[in-house]
Amino acid sequence: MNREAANISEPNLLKNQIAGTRAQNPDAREEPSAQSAEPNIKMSTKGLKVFYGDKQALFDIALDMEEKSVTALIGPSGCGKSTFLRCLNRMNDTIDGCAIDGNVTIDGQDIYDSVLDVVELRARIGMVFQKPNPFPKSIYDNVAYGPRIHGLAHNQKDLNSIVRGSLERAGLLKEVEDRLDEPGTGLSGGQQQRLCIARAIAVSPEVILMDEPCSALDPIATAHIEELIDELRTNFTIVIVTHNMQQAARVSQKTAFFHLGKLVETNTTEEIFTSPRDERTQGYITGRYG
Amino acid sequence: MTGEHIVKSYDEELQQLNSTIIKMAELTEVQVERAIKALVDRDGDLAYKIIDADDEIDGLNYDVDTQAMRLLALRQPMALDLRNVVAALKISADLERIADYATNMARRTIPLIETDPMRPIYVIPRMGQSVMTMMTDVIEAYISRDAEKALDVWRADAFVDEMYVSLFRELLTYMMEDSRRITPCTHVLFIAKNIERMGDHVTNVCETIYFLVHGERLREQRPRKTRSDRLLTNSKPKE
Repeated sequence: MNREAANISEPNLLKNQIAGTRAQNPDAREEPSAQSAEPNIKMSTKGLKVFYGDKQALFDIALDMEEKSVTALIGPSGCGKSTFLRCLNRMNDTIDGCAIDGNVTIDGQDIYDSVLDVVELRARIGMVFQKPNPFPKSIYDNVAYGPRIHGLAHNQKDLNSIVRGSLERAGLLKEVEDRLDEPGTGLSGGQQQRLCIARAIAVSPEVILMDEPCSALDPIATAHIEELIDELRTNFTIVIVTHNMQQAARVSQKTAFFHLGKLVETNTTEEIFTSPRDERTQGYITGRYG
Repeated sequence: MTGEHIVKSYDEELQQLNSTIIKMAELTEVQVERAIKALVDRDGDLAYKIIDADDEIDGLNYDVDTQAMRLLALRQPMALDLRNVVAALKISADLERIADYATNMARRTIPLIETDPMRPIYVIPRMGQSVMTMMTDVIEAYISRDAEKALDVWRADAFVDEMYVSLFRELLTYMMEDSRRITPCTHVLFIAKNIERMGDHVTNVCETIYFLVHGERLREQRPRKTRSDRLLTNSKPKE
């Protein structure tokens, strides 16, 4: 049973254009075959603490997220998984009274380094939210917005190419290619979410963060997004927060279980869901929690 | 035939489980065939080959267990998919037992080669051939998910049972004629029992295939004319 690899031609074109500002580690490319090599860590946190005013929400989180792989964050409501996710692209900066301590790195580089441009960071580390939030613009302009702001296209032809390529990789192009000038808000929930994913990948991110991306979608639309995630992970690093454990089981290679602001257990998804080491993990995933 | 899953990797995993079962079944079929041949041709080398090859089938059984566990934990299969996964677990257990019986037959063949050929042994190849045909047919029934074919195989086991009972009678008579024949006849009896048990396990696979396809249990009773437990040394068996 052969699967077609996701279109790789488009991102390579874009990466060449942006090579100056986002030099990839050349050594990473020359790794030997997947089976023998150590997995590459794309993002990493060490001793990460987050406070909302006086209240501590995260306690010393140390988590490695592997490149070109899906890491799922699971745990009960209020356990800190969304807070953690927002640390990864500095979205917590926008929250009043939120204080962060500790280390968050991408390719070994500290993302809280004052030298770093946070807007550019958020293009490298894209985000998709629970409720699809297309801009009140046309489908085309939704996807073109990011590339325009970041000056990623030299001319209209390039821009068209980026928009079409992103829509195709998000699995949406066929459904909308004859109405790209219609408003993005006119699409169904599942289509809107795929539009938001197209928008995120249009700026050639390295990492895509997803905060409960399928909570507002029906099972068929959810399955389409999960198939899309399967395809995207050949090119991107994906971190997904979900309170649907079964989704974490279906979609991820590694799973991290959060509980009351602490990272209780991390392992391959298969291990977590067949033989978790910690009692709290077992309690949560079997529904014996509380 | 239903369509493909939206998530391709799910289909790939189910397909892989299917392929592992087919591979295991084909290897088991070969072991059974070899076991009959080793006995009939009095081939000690072939008997040792059979014993060595059993590890591979045990390995595939372990693979099926692992793949099925993974599918259940990570995909939450429903309906037909769930029945496919559960069927795989049950079928691999039955195949593993069939393969073990073939290995046991090979082990008993080795001492038998030392003794003179015996008269009642002609029934063994006929029983063996029946079971081999059942195996071939049940594998086809699994591949094409054909419950009717599985039912035909299921009914064919009656013939194997009958041959076993008649062989049992003959061996008893043979042993009573000359007590020096008791040891080799006992080996032959165990071998015949192994073949009869193989047939029984194949019927288990048939029942599993039926359940897999129809989603409900087979309610028919298997036809059986005589039973070996009704044979007593001094009395006539009931017809």
